[in-house]
Amino acid sequence: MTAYRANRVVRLLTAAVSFGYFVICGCGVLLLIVVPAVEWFADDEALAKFTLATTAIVQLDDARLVSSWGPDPLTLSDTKTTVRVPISVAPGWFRSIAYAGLLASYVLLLLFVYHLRRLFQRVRDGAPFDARNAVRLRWLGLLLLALAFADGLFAFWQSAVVVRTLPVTPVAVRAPFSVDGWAVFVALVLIALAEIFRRGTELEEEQSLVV
Amino acid sequence: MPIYVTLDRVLEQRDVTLTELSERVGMTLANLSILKTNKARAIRFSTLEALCRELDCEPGDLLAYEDD
Repeated sequence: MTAYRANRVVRLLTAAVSFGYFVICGCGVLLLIVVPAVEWFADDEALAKFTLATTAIVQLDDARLVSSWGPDPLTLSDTKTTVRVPISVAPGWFRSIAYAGLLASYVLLLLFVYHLRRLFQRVRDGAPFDARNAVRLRWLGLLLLALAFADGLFAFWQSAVVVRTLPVTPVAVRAPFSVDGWAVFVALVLIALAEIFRRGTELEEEQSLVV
Repeated sequence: MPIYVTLDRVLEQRDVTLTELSERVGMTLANLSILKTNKARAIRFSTLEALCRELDCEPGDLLAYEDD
């Protein structure tokens, strides 16, 4: 029986995910050191250059525009826009919660990429139907679900707080709530795959005991 | 499991060690050990044939049934 050798795609993917993992670890250093350092040591003028981006919906009450295609007007309804809040004007509690949210998302992402990397390494080593891989796949699904909902909820909170500070304007501005549907779908697929892998592990164990 | 392997008894009768048997039948020592210690879930006919050939015995000499 020849020794197993993973195909090129698997080896490339493993290398790419490993590289991504180390990049994310590096970003963690920036997050944990640089961001607080900027907060504590930069003056207001310097802080004004940094902004927190948040999304808002501007309600246009169905504005109509005539295009060059014909007389029937095109309708513009709600428009998604980005509101950039200079850190220098954001209150301390808002910055702290925004930073905590960012850290939480970072930890979830780091765990996700860590498990993905270990999964690819085991596949590359020729042991895909490993009990730990089944557990890892389930964790990947749950982490992705958590990331999707955490990001959606946090972005909504941030947007709602910022929108409430805006003065009354002729156009209504509101905070959108959305969860990445594709991330939720992929998460559910991963959880289903985990069950398939668990069964695959059982079959492989049974097969290894056939002499 | 009601079916169990009596390989150790046959090895003793033929005065053959597990290592010698593994070399003669072309099986790994690990797999033979799984068989000998009754951890195997199934045995292939090709394995049974090789064992019977090398140990000069019948399949019934290697397998026994005992209702639990």
